Amino acid sequence: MINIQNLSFGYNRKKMLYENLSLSLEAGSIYGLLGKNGAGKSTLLCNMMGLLFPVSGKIEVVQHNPQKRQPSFLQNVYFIPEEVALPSISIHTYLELYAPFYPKFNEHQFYKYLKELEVPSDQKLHKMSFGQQKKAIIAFGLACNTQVLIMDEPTNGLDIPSKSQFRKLVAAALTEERLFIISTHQVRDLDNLIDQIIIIDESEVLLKASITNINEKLCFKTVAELDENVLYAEDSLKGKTVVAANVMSEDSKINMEHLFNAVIANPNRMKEIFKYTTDY
Amino acid sequence: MNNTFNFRRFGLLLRKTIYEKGLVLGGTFILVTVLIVLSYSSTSQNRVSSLPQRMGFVIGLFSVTAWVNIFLSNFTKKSVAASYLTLPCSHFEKWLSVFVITAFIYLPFFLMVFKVVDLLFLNYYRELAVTKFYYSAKQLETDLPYLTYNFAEKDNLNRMPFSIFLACFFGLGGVAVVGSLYFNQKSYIKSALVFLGLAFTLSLALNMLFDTIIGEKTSTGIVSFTKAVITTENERLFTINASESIQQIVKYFIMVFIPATLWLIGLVRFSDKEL
Repeated sequence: MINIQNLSFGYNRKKMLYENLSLSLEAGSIYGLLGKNGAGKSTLLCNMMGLLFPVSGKIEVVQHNPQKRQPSFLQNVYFIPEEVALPSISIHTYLELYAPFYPKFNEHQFYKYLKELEVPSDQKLHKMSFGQQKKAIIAFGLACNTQVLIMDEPTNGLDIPSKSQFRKLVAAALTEERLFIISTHQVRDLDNLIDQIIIIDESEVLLKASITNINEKLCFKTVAELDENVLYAEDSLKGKTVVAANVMSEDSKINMEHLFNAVIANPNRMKEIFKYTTDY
Repeated sequence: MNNTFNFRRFGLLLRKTIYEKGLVLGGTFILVTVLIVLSYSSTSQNRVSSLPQRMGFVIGLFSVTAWVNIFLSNFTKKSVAASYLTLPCSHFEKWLSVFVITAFIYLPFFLMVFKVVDLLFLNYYRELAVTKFYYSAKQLETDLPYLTYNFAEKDNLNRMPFSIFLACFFGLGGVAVVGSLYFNQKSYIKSALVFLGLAFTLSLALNMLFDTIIGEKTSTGIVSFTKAVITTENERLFTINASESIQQIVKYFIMVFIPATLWLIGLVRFSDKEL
C-alpha cells in the first residue's frame, strides 16, 4: 500500500536527512514509527503525504504519487499532525464542512468516537483544550475511513485514560483494507497496539519487523548475570532487565522502551539478528 | 474521478472557506469601507479638492492585497498548512477559489461601496456649494467630479480608465497571491518589499540606460515605459514617444501579461507548495 524506493530527502542539499531509504508497508497493519526527537519521523510522514517532496527516489501511496496531491489520493489518506490548529467553529459545523470531502466518512462512527473519547460535541473547537482538540481530530480521522491514516505523535497532549481509549479505538478501527501509521517518541503509548515496528535513527531504518517476529528473535526478561546474548540491560529492583537474542525460543512480553533502546544501542547486531526476516 | 476540477468539490471548498474566513474577510472589508469614508470626510467644506476622493480610491484598490493575503494566510502555522494542503481538492480548485472570491466578491463590493460613498459625499458637497455658495459650479465640475465606472474606455474611475483599474487590481492581487504562496511568515511585508524593490530596480535600470544613450542632457526621465522626457542645458524640454506599435506592446504587457503571469505563477506555486 505504501512503497518507498531509494528516497533521498534533506532540508539542505548538503546535509541529507535520508539517503536511499526503501520501505514497504502493507494494508491490515498498524505500524509504529519510532525514533528519537529529530530522527526524521515527521519528515518521513510528510513525504508520504506529499507535504514535502523528495530530492530523489520514488514514493507510492495507495497507487498514487503523493507529490501531486490529487483529490483521488487525498480522499484516501488522512493525516493528523502533531500540532492541531482547528478553526473557530463548532464540531457540527466542522463535520458539515469537512466530512463531504471524504466519501467513506461515517457520521455515526464519528459521534461514537467522540463519546468514547469524552469530547463534548456541542462545543466550539477553538475553545477546547489542546487534548480535546486532538481527540476530536483523531475521531474525525478515524471516521473518514480512509485507506491510510497517518498520525504524528497522536498521544501528545492526551491524558492517561484517553491514551488507553485511543489505543482501543485505533485497534478496533483497523480492517484488512486499512493501514495506520503512528509515529511517536513516547514508545510506551503504543504498547499492545501496533503489530509492526519501524525504528529509524541517523537517517536510516534500523528495524522493521512484526511483533511476532520480534518475539521470535528477541527475549525480554530479568536476569542476575549478563551473558553474550544480551543486547541491552537496565538495572532494576529484581536484577537486570535485559533484551537478549532469543536463542532458547523463550516466550516473553515485548518491552517497547527496552526494545527501542536496544536497537539504538546495537543497530548492527540488530540488523544481523533480523537479517533474513526484515523486509525493508 | 476528475482530478482537476469538480463542481461539487469546488462548491464545498468555497463554502468551507467562506465559513472559516468570512468573518475576517468581512471585517477587512468593513475596515476598508471605514477608511474610504474617513478619507472622503477629510475633504474641507470650504476648499474643495479631489485628493481625499483619490485617496479613498487608492485605499480600496490596494486593499485587495490585504484581502488576498488574509485568504491565503494558511501557511503561517504548519498544522494549518498541512490541513489546507491535504484537503481533497485540486490545486486548480484552490487557486480558483482565491480568484473567484477576489474577482466576484471583493471587486463588485468595493466598486459598489465606493460608488455609494462617492455619490453620498459629492451630493452633500454639491448641496453645500449650491446653498452656501462656497464655490462655483464650474469649480465643482473640474475639482470634484462624480466618479463613473462603466466597462468602456472613455469612462473613467477617478480619472483612470476602467481597463487600467482592472489591470492594477488584478496585478496587485497577483502580487499578493505570489507573495502569500512564497513567503510563509510575514508574507505581506516581504512581498511588498520585493515588489517595490523590483519596480524601483527596473525603473532605475531603464533610466540609467536612457541616460547612457542620451549624452547631452541635464536630466532625463522615463514615464510609463513608453515616453521619455529630456531637459537640455538651455532648459529646453523634449518628449520622445515610442512608436504606436511599441506603445501597444508595452500597454498589453503591463495590463494583461504581468497580471496574468502573476496569477499563473500562483497556480503553479500551489502545486509546488511544501510545508
